Amino acid sequence: MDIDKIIEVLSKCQTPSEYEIKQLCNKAIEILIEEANVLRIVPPVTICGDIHGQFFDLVELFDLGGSPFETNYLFMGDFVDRGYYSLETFLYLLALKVKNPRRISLLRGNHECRQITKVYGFYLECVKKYGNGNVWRYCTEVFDHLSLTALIGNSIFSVHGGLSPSIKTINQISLINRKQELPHEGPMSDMLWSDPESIQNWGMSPRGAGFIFGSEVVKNFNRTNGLSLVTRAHQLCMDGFQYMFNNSLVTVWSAPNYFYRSGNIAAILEIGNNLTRQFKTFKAAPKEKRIVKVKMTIPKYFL
Amino acid sequence: MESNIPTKKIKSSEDLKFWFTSDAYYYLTQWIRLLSIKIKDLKNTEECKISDTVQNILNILDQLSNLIDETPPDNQPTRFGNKAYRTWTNKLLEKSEQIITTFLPEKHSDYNSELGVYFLDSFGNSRRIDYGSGHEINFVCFLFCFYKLGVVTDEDLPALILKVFAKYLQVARKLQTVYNLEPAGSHGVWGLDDFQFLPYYFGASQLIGHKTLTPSSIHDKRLLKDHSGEYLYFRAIEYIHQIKTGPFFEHSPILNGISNVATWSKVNSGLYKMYLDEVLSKYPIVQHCYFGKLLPFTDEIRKKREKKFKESRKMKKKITKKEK
Repeated sequence: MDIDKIIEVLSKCQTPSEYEIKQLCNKAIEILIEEANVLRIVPPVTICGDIHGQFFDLVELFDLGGSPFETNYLFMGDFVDRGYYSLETFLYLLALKVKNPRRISLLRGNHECRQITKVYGFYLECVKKYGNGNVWRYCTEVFDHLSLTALIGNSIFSVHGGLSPSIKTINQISLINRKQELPHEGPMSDMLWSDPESIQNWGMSPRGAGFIFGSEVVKNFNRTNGLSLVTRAHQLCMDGFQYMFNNSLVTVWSAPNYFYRSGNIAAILEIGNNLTRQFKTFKAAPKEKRIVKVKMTIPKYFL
Repeated sequence: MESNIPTKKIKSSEDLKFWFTSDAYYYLTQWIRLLSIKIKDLKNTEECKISDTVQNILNILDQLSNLIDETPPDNQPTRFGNKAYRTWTNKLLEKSEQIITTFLPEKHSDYNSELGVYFLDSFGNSRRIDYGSGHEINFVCFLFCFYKLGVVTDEDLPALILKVFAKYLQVARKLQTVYNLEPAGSHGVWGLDDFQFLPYYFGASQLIGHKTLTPSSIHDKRLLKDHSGEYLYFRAIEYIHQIKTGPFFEHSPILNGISNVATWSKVNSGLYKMYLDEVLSKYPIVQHCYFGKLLPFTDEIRKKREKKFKESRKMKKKITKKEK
């Protein structure tokens, strides 16, 4: 496998051959399988939220945050679904990971699973681009191996969704068997589906998976685990990021102008050597930088 | 007959399989087909019979719209949606008891609370400050309940879509824009629309026999403007232009693809199949559906059909035996 050639192709938002994708995914699994459920990351690192297939906005993100060959990045999941380029986006990040595993860290989001990607676009995109579901299968196998959380400098905890009533200490996360399709319930599901809310403790989530959790939950979790901050993604933020609970938790969102209507900006969070925090924000890529390979196809229901 | 408060029943893949064979699924799919048939070639401005029941629903929707005017967006810091939407929802809940008692005539008043569940969940989720196709389903279920009880008959059906559903869409869109509601469970560029589905299905039926407007007419801004008051489909496209940025082919590729379909009839039938596949078959949506007495999570219809089928096979065997 020529990883540099694959990166080159993907960096232009083009797709490698099905065989190359298979090789890339197999190689990625070899690397991911060795990673713990809690990645230990030494700062500096730039933390990013949901991308959802917005490839050209990912390019803007790298323009702002620095080349992924020179800057450490942590992506908190939700690479796929909803956007045009879930495949290119995910494979590009995966190829960067394979090229430099210590520099790029990838966490699993609630969209990195078979059930959700069959509904929200990634599966359709794969079939449209390759005529069959093989590359979707290769990617979903990689999803099963993605790590769940990260701990940066022993002080900043990162996860896609949020906390779980079953998890009081970070050590407990290590006991989870993560190498499977995302379950409907349990701690693994909770961490990828939960949301913070302006309540004190736990509540039922209107999403139908995970829970909502409040200020006391975050306070206790941070205290028990010696944390200064929980970073998470999973929810759209108008300003790209939003602090809650006296700055002890922050949502970072990295898909600008979500749905082409939200008008939101996106953000990344730069963690410095001394655990300093700096947010940088960016807008959607301008029209001239976006390529939309449009085929005027009539959807199958109308044929 | 006492009514049940409808509850959510679809919690697993087994439940999902059962949903497809359920009476509720049958009723709902037949209901939307019937509505589509009843408004074929009719404009929104068509003069319809408007019964007291129907007029009452229209009045209630007007009330909800006024409530939005009385509850302007606030300046509180927010993640995305405006928190005044929660205030609007609380006001609706405060009025709900009074509103719900007006739905049905006395003899069916036991069912008011069942209708109330569907009605109150038709306008979005106040915790998440979002709105999606699941809320639209609830409103259609709400309307179905009237028909199931015989309070609304075939004659009333055009008004249910051309006046009531059209007004419901006005209220929903007002909520979406005033409070900046998030699209709940949108499929992004892989879905038809971030918020709605049925305006396109019903809207295509309105246009089936139209002499000049074709599916590709949606690209003509003048035609959109001229006809958005008369046709649900055109209003839906116009609304997308109002809230989305960028070229239409980029942000709405499915609708763009549909504009290449030759006839509205094909658009209508294709959207029906797509609705069943992309909305009613998807667990993330139907896990939030409610089932009570009027839309029951039972499979009596399927059982009856199977029994009839078995009986007719027995008869056939008997006849063949006799002939031999």
